[in-house]
Amino acid sequence: MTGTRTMDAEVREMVHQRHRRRRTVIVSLVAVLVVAAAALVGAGLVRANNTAPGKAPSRVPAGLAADKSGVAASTGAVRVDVYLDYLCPECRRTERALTAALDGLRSHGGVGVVYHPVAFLDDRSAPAGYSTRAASAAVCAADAGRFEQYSTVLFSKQPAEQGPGLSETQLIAAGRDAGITGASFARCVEDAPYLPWVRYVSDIAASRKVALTPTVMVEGRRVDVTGSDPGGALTRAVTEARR
Amino acid sequence: MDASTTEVTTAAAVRAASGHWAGAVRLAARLLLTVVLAYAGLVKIGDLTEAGRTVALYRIVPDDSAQLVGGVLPFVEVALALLLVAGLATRAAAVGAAVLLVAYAAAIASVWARGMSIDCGCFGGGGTLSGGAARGYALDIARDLVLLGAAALLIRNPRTRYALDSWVLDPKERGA
Repeated sequence: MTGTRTMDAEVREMVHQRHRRRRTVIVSLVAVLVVAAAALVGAGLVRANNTAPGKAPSRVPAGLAADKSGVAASTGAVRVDVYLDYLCPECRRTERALTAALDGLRSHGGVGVVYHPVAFLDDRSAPAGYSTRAASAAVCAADAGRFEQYSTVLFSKQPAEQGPGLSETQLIAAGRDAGITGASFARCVEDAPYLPWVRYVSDIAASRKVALTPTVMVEGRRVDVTGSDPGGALTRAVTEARR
Repeated sequence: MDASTTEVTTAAAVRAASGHWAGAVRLAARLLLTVVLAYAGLVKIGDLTEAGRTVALYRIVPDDSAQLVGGVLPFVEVALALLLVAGLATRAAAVGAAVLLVAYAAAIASVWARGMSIDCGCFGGGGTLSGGAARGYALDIARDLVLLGAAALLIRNPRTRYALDSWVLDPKERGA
């Protein structure tokens, strides 16, 4: 009598354990699904965030590349894209080497350089927005045909992160250092007519999966410029593309 | 009541008390993981572009998938936090959290080993640093290890109070 009761209890316990295991498996699967669904939401949002913007804004600076996504500094068969942010320390570090390498490459001709002045680091200045202001001023310099020279000046005067950045007056003064004369540049820096275009450039860059500055591409392929010899890396990539 | 009975009762009481204690520690571990994961995830969801940029700064995943990884991770963190706060599939959620924490600690260690100076961006922010990166890395990894310990406790024994698991896995039918 006692024996059967023990047996009964054992069977019940076994059945219970089996049910418990099955439920554990189901619950764990539900958990995996919850996490996977969350991951999909994230992926969807990234995709939605990074869709290419539709049309370029109506007011764009002079000297743009055909796709209006950047300032064309030269034309040629091998396309070099440079994405930069005027507040980015790494952009400053690589600027001189890259400019020298590009000058060398362009002297042989056949290199189309397009600069994309993006505003990725707007929240790294206080008040926020120095990246946008600097990019907008640089694009005014493009109107005067001196984008590269002005870029170099801005990087040499690069302010510290978390600071206010260069003031409007300083941005205008930097124009003189870059050899820009004439009142229209100052007016352009003050009125900032190209703000929508700077945003457009940033959005295009994001849709091309550019997350960081500096990003340098040769014929659409990324060149690693984080090493100690960014200029050499760029030169090699362009030479490769020429073959 | 003779001496041996008293002894047995005391031993049971001690066992019960220590079990109670361990249960409280596991509950604390569950809540700690919940709070940290939820906070870390929500802050990053507030600025997904920044999160993607932070991932790119580690230079571990290819540049063009950094934004995707940066967008997915915070949602996974929040999903794990939701499971943990509900106490649903606690063991599986703790395993997920442990995997994330190991990956994060390894990523920080790799950045440290490569001599790069970045902010881990663990709770949003991120970016390059001019100095004091090593101290930050050590603290970040230490924090990850503490959290990993909490996850390990839950993986070993996922039973805690106020958890949906006890509802779902041990329904009343047992008593009947």
